[in-house]
Amino acid sequence: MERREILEELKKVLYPYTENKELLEKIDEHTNLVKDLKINSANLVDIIIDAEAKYNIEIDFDSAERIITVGDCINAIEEKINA
Amino acid sequence: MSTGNDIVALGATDSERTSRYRFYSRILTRTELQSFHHLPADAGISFSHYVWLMWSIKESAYKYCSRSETSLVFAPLTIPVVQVTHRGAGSWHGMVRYRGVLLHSRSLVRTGFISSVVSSEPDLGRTRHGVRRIPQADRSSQSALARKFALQSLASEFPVAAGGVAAALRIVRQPDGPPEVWAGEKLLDVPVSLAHHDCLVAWSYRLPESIS
Repeated sequence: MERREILEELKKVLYPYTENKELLEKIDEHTNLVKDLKINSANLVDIIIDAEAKYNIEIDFDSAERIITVGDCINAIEEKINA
Repeated sequence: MSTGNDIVALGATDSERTSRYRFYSRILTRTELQSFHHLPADAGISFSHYVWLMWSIKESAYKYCSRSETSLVFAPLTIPVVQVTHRGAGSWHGMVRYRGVLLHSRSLVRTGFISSVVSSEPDLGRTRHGVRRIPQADRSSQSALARKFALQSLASEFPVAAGGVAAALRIVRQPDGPPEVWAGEKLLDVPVSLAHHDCLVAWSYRLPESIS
């Protein structure tokens, strides 16, 4: 699966946790989940769990703690689905 | 000398999901999990509320340390709550260690929310902390009202002691920086911490030694 495809699927994961839906459509790999998308930190665990369920993967704690941007999130998913 | 605070709107959480291993294992250390099972019966806190209590203490400690280390990333498992004790009526006292600093916490577990504040002060005697409900949960309302209520609280502390500066108080947030309290053109030594979640906002600050 290419990174662009993961990005499009990731938008669906982020959708319930994002107030600004227009901004969500324009995200790229540099978008900061908390600072740019204004996702509440309490929902970051939800997003990781939803992504795990969507891709049938398990994102380990170390990888999860490195997720700051959309690109970091794609990295974590890509690493697992290509393992 | 700062504070950090956090608020969790329980209505915006999913208690069933919170109680799943895949969720809480990303928040609670093994020791914190064991501590829950050793709480006295009169503590009267559900497991999902305990998870969010721990979360709010950890997030508060993260905010405290982020003031001086802006590049920190919130990672709950790296912020151990070393002690938490129920003091009655939903009031909890605790200690949390982060970045080599031992911080003292106070938390309120109330219908609809859990709110925590941390400070380096053992008795939090100079720490002020408040929570208010707001009518709307959009980001701009949360931000504006958190500032408004924090300023109201600050104004009640400052008018006499600081020579009537309350009317000129304002909270300014630099890009990627913590909120600052200004009186006119003067930056006050009152680091303030703001938090919001859903229809709840919270604030905390520590009074400088010059205010008695």
